[in-house]
Amino acid sequence: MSRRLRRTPVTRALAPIATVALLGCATPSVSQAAEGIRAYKPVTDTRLANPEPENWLQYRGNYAGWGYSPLDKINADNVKRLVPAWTLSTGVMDGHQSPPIVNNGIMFVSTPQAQVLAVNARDGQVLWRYQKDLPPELFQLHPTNRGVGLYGDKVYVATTDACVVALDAATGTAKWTKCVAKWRDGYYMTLSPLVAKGKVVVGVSGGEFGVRGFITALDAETGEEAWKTYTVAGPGDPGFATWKGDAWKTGGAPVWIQGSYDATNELAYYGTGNGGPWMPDTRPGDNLYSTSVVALDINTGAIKGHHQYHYNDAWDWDEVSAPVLITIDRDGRKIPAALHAGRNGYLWTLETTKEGPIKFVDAKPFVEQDVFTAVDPKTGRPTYDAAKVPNTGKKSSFCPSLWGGKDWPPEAYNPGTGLFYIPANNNLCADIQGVAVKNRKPGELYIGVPVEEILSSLRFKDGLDVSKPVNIGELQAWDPNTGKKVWGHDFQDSAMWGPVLTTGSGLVFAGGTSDRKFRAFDGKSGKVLWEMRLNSGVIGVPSSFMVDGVQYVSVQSGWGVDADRMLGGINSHLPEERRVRMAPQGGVVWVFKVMDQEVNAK
Amino acid sequence: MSAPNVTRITIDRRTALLGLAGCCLTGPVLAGPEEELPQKGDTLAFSDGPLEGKPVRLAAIVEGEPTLAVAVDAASGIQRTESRFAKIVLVRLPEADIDEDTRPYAVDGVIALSAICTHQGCTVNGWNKDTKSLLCFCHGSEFVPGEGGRVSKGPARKRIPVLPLAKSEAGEAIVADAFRGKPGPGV
Repeated sequence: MSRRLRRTPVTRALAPIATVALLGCATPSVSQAAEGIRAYKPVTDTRLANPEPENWLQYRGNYAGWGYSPLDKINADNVKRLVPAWTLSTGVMDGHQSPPIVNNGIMFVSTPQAQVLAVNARDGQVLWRYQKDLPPELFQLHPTNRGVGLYGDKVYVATTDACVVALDAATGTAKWTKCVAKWRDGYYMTLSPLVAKGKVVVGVSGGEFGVRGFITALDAETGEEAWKTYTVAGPGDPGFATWKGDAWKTGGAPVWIQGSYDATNELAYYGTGNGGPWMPDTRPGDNLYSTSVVALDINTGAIKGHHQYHYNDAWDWDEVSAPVLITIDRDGRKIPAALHAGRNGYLWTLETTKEGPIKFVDAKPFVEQDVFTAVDPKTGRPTYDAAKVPNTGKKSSFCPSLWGGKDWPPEAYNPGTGLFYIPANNNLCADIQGVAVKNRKPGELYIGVPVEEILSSLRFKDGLDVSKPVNIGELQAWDPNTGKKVWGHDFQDSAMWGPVLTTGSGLVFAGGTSDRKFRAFDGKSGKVLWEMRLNSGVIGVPSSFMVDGVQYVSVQSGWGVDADRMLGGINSHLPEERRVRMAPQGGVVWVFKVMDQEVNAK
Repeated sequence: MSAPNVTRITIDRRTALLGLAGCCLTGPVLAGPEEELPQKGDTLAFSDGPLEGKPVRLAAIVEGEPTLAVAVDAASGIQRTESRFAKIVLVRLPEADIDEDTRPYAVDGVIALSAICTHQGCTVNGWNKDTKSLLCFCHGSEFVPGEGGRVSKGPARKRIPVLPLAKSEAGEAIVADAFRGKPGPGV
């Protein structure tokens, strides 16, 4: 299956609309809106572990990271009549990646610049708005946010100045603010908090600034630190032997995506970023726990198990997406599995245990990958083609690119279709060469690869004929029981940066292409059933919820950050007439419903 | 009574208060630490590389190699490092690449500019040799130093301000005046 992106000339940017600004200080709300807030239903461990079908209580809808809504009112027959129910301008530029999170008719949506909006999910009325006063001198490599966490009567948001803010869900008033690291030292946060057992768990970004990554849990009521676990092993840790000298002090392994969580065994599974600086010779050894999944005891933060997807990273392949927890059937045996479509281009199937240790099941490439020559069938440890490993002073060419086979946009799992959906990017490679790293300065880049080189590193796979449209982005469906790909839907001349939602009716929703379209696919075949071009590209996590018997699908549009960086790279290799020159920015919350569904519901 | 054809927006007292509470947490935006920025009469020192901390001799600035520098209070010898917005990048260009409006602020082909990207505040010290532009790693914005720091490629919208330069008898760089605009993010 293949799809050519059509382009229409775009003459000017969509100006961000001033609606939100007008709502400013004295938010004018009708009394009905206040009723909704008064009826706020506290979020509990039980509810997070067993979310009601009509709600979307966290980043991926459930703790297991499925990106799945059991709702089935929007289906293959009526999805062609999907229309906007309401929209809302966020008033903010840059990458909007956060899912609209819904608790009993109240939507909480976060945006770049540390803003949270509480909205009546049915009609779009703004109930309150919170904006953190960010430091004027703050620098933001990734000006984005990936969602709020809900617990009790509070809403939690992590910010780019490395703080967690707890807001009163009813009013938007800050109850406490706890900064977990110094932004001036290069630490920042973009992830949605994992909330469980009275703790708000977050991790830090900053891998390009020479940080030492960590995950920390704060008391949900007070913000006091409950525990802090470094993702770069230090003295006394069993993984410390995988580092040499002082490299661990600036070892990277940032954590910028919410972990998945096994509530029964009280284990949180977090993915970790690559080691820093980028070139592997600057930090010899395996570099635990970089480019790994770690299983943490939610009560103590102790690392109970880990699996390193690839050791001593050389390619900026953060393996930061948390694994999706599902039970699979392999050769007649039920396995509690953790699935991860790696930035390294392999789909990893791991087995989790009650105690924490993680076992390797198998790994298969899902995009063009020319670095691994083998993967040990017992341990999962890859062997590298030495020619594909860049180093300080050594240029190497490798596939996939720095952004990997799948970057941060989350996969989804549908228990109905039984399929695992991956937003992949294929046929992209990169060339980089390291230079000697200078002394680290707090808050300054500490990468060891020249800026110009990184920004021009992207290229197509050798031998690809660019005189014709080329397949880049691909929505893939895999059967976790057989470990085989079932279908793929290609996007030509465009990457795919769309987080995936799947629903009880077997639909799959995703945007992510440079033509700004948001689409519904048949989850069994990959056929596009509906699509609509929005104000800006869609790199937001979609969600689904129900109010008064009507099912809605919601997503933020707002192109930016790495999707935009990659677009620049792709444009430099495509013939002029096939480039998407204009990728307008500006965030909008979109909420869709089937045109006549309300009538039917009543 | 509302007319039947009019949507009446009613606000109860509680809701109005909620709105206020939500909003006013943001507080006033800080004006910016102008007093920590480079001042007329400051000298410059290298803030990176093998010459770190040494006075900037203009002859040491090489074409195609943007160089980070810091202003030094002439009287006390203290480096102005309190504010990120005080960071300076020095660029050498052929005289022909410096336009008329910028030339008065350059000395011996060297131009000083704010090293802070006007998009999201990252430090700008990359160089696109094809377009002779300063390049920001964070989001790829480019600025033309020879044309007063104007934006040649977004997402930045605002030029990076130039810092007027003079030269001491020893051939070292001196700040001739404050930044020709406000450094830091903005539109």
